[in-house]
Amino acid sequence: MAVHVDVEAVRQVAKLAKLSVADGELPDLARDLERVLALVAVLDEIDVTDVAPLVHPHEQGLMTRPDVPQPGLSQAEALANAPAQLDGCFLTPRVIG
Amino acid sequence: MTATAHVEACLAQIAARDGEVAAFLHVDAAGARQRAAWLDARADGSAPLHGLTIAVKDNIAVAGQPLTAGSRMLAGYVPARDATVVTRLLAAGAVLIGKTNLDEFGMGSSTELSGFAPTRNPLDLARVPGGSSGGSAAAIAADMAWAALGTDTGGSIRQPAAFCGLAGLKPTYGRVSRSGVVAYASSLDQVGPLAKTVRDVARVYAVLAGHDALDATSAVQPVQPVQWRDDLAGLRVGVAREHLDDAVGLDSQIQARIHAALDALRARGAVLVPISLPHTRHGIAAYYLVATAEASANLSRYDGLRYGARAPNPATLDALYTHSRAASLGREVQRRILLGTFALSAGFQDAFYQKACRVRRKIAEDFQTAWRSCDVLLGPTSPVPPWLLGQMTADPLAMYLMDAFTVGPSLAGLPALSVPVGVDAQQLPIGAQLVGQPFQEAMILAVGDVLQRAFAPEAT
Repeated sequence: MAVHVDVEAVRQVAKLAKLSVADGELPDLARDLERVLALVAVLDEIDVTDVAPLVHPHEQGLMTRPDVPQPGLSQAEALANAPAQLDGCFLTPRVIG
Repeated sequence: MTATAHVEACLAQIAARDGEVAAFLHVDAAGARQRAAWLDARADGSAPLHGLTIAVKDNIAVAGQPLTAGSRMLAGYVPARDATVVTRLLAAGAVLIGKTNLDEFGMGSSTELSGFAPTRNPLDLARVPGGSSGGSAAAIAADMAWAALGTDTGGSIRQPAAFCGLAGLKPTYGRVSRSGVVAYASSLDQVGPLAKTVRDVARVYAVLAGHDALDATSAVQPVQPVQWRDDLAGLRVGVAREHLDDAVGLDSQIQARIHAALDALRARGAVLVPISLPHTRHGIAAYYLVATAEASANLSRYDGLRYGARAPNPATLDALYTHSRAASLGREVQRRILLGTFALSAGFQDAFYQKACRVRRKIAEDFQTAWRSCDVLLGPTSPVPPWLLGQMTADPLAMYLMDAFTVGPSLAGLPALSVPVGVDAQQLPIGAQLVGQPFQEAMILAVGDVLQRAFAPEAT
């Protein structure tokens, strides 16, 4: 599936990916993305109509452990790497109002 | 040799050579010395890795030591807990000597895409050590550590092992715990060891392997011990034409050396079985769609809020996210996040991500077909020898193609071992890749040991 990628498409994808991209970088990224999508067009050679997707290499399924409380991080440990904190909480810019 | 003497020898090598090699992002000299002194004074020496130095790729958590995953996004981050693999190494008597450089979040094949500095190949400083576990491989090749942990998503243990003349094992998906390991592509990532010999790789692997309740993808199958052997009577070795005689872009000296490796196995009783892996040429495309889709989800955790770099003075929460990520994630990482987000986005998911997953099944089925007629597969690890620094960085697509032989076993979740099988005319190392059936690490380690000793009889 050949896909044309324009700067608007990159802007939209960057928004979804939470990446701020300068306007000047958009054409280069569009070109890069289009080149990769041209490379992956080789997949169109294969008829996979009746093939189920393989999402995980071994279909054992996820294992769960018994629902028993275990020690976790203390509040101090959880906050130790925070760029900004206040009163035992992660600090963000104002969200409401 | 005492643990202390071994640690001092490694630290001396680091002091002498790491300025030019840049294998390490963090050296824990004080901690390694303290641990070695404790082991010499208190331990009885019976632990399986007693006093041996191990370097840890810097996307694996060691409590109290910086962890960056090669990204400026995580500069200054210090984990509170050890990864399960680290806990197991310490319980086995190992000494952790430091954290090694990598392509940012494991996204690269040369360690040039580290957010900090490129690592150089100690065997030829003008060349790359491979990647993304290039720091781990370089540390061993320069005698800065006895062994190292790497991670492998599409070849990131096997290819640097090949480029630095080492053995490196990517275990079966789920065989080794990933608790405490920075996620790149969760249906592909595995932790594994690198060392100079297959026997040393096996020694570390035996400590790492086994079920871990902290990793929901951890396999419950029992770990098989390796039965070392000298002859390979009756062993069926599959040779895929798409990986050797029909391979596109395969270096002629590497091709000749792999034929010599096959001859060596045959001389020891193995039977060579011509096979086909018909979807080899689709592997790179399927891999890059699956890996980037998963990466786009995994890397959404870097939000500048709870840990990691944060852009200064963001006006809004959204600006905090978008500016922090754009300022601190590298170009290739952003490129892969964008590709993955695109492949998962409405209107394109069926055509790209879902299609890649369907092709992934076809690739896995190719291997299942192969196992009807053979026990292991042998081919080259990399189509080319280590390249010159800077040679590939201008064209990321060219670098993607270098993973042609390693991504297939990754997509199928199979164990694969790179074994050193000599050098080319420029004295650059060549690696052979042995691929095994699921959970048959013991088989490929035993065969790999025979193969390595065929070319280097002293490697026991």
